[in-house]
Amino acid sequence: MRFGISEKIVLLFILLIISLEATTSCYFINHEKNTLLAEFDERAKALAQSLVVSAEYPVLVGDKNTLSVIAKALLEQKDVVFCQIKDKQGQILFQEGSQQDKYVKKHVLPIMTEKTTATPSEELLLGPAEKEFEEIGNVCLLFSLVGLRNTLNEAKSTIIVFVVIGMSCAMLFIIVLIKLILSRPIGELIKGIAIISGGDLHYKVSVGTKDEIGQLADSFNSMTEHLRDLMHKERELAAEAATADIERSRAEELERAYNELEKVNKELNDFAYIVSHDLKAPLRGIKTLAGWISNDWQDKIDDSGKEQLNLLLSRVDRMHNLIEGILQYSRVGRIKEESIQIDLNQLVPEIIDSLAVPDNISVTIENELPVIESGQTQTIQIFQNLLSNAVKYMDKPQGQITVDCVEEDSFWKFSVADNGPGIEEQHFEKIFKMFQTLSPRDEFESTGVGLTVVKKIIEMYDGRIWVESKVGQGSKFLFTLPKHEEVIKNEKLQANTVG
Amino acid sequence: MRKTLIGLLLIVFFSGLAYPNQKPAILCVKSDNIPAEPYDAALSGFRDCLKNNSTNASIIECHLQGQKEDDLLKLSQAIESKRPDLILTMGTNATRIAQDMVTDVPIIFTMVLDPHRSGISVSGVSMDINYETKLETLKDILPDKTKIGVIYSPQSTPSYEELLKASRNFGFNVSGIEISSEKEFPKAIKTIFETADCFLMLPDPKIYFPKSIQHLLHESIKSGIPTIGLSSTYTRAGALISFDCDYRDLGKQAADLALERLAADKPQQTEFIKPRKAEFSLNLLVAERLGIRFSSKIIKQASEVFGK
Repeated sequence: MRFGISEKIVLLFILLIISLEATTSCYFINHEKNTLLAEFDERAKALAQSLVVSAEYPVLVGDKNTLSVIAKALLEQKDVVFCQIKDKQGQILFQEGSQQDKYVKKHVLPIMTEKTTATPSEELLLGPAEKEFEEIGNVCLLFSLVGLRNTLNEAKSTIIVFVVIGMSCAMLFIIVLIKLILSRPIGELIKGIAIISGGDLHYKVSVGTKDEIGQLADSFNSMTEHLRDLMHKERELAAEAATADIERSRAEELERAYNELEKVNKELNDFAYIVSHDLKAPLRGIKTLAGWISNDWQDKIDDSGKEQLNLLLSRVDRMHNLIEGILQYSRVGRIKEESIQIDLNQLVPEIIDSLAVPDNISVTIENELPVIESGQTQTIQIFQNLLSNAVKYMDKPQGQITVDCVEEDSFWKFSVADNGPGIEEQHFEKIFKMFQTLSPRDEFESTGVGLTVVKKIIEMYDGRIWVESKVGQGSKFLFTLPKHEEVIKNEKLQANTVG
Repeated sequence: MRKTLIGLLLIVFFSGLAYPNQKPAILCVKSDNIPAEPYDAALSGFRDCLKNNSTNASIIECHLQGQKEDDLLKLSQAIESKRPDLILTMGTNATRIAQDMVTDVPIIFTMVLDPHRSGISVSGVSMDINYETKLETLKDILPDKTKIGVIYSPQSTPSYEELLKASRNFGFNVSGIEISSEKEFPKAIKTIFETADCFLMLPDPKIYFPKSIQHLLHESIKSGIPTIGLSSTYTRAGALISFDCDYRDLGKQAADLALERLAADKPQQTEFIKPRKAEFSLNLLVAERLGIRFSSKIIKQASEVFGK
């Protein structure tokens, strides 16, 4: 038979209460017994004393009649079963009652009286200076204890009944209390442990007390929470590990792709260069042959033939320019140019001069230009392309081109603005793409490579180029270059070359 | 030298003349059974009286303990050492011891009851108040009580006869029962209470002792017969009226007698003086119980009133 903690405690309490009941009953019974005996003795002594006082004078004068009256009155009292009065010579002056009762208590008291002196009669008037007493007899009383025993037995029964009832109520109360304060919380704890053991780490044990069991439940909940956190972290770590694997494989894949792309880029680059370079030779041959035909066969070819030949030559030139543009573009980044200190205040005017700007167009430099660290040829290409485009597409009788530069936090912001025809907003991106021109080729001879090359050079130097323009009012090309040139990595150069 | 001798002789002569005029020494002997309060009152009256008579006496007190041998020794030592000119005794015991031991020094007693029958042979002031005085006062206090009952023994017969004699002058009818032992007392009381209007106690130690007094007072109240006690102690205990000596005046009377003895050249005749002043005490509680009412004049006259 298994007992739970609460049952054990209840059993302990039952044993304790039974012991307590026994002790309490004994104590109360004993107390009651002592009280009854004390009361009995007190009453017996009082009765005996009253008899002594009443009998003093009759004994002194030997008045048996009076003694009889007094003693008989006493014998009528409850429990008084025997009375005897003797004088100091031992002569019985009164005796009545039975001495045969089994349960009796005897009280014998001396009868004392003030000692009288015969001669000094003045004491009658003045009173005695000191009182002396002498024994003139004694009284003997027997008190029956039967009544006391009966009373005591009744008291015993009452006490036992009351104590048993009282203790039983207390026991019931304690059992209920133990059930409430111990069994229920422990049951909750066991239930919680079972649920958590089943895997539900989100279950919280609630016992509703703040005692040791409550603290145990709190500790258990903390432990569960900690366990839950640990499991969560483990899952996260596992997920991270999986992610890291994926990342690693992805990186490896990217690296592989990058290597392949690099290889393709290089091949493309080489291909572009080779194609451009190799195309130029037959093109030159065509142009030379066309020139020979035009010169040698001048008389034999009619005007239509000459026009066709001139058209052929112009297309060859356009083809040549296109190939040259591709070569320029492929050169950017492919050819490593050394960075030097370039004073733009000196370089830009030289570029303007080299462009042979028509008289109706004025080119001005607004502020002092900075000294930058860059490749000289590529810097010239930037400004030359932007300025030549501004001059080429100027449609105003009084053209105005302005070069400016402002210093920002970590870079220089340059601008080349004109009051030309302007560009529609929808073409702001298009103009920077390869072979894209906004005007017909017959109107303005253009390869559509210049701005693409400029963009590639600027981006190679970690700069940015964009255009602000309003149709009919002009355009403003803005670009940034860092104040200090950074190391241009080959990889980046090569990547940008492809783009 | 001669002149010096004459001067010395003159000093010695006048010193001899001055000696009889020095303050007298009085030895005051107290019986063991005399309570302190009346003793102090009597001695105080004695001193005052001497002082008033310009007698600057030296009073030496000697308190007896009740042990005969010890008391005799104590008294003889006191007499030997103090050489008193007079001995004042207070109480029967002290007077008896002193008169047996001393013959060459005058003795004066006081606070003795019935010196005739106590075997006293020296002069003094007794505590026996005249029955004339008692009956005269009683007539004023209880005018309707004319039948006086008494119990006496052979020892107190003279007192009874004295009472009978005095009663004739005041119109009282005294009836007495003589008893020979205390055992007869309860019966005698019953008999007396059947006929008397009031009961008068005569000083008789054979009849009256604490228990018999208690019985008497109890029976007195129970029967509705007032008891006239021997002192205020009895009034307090339950007697209706009691007559008392004025102990201070008793002392003064003794002092007067002492002065006479000190001045006398030769021994005087034995003289028993009775108290010149008598007081009475009342118990109003007992009076109420017995249905007796006292006038305010009587109450005012009483030296002590109990049960107010």
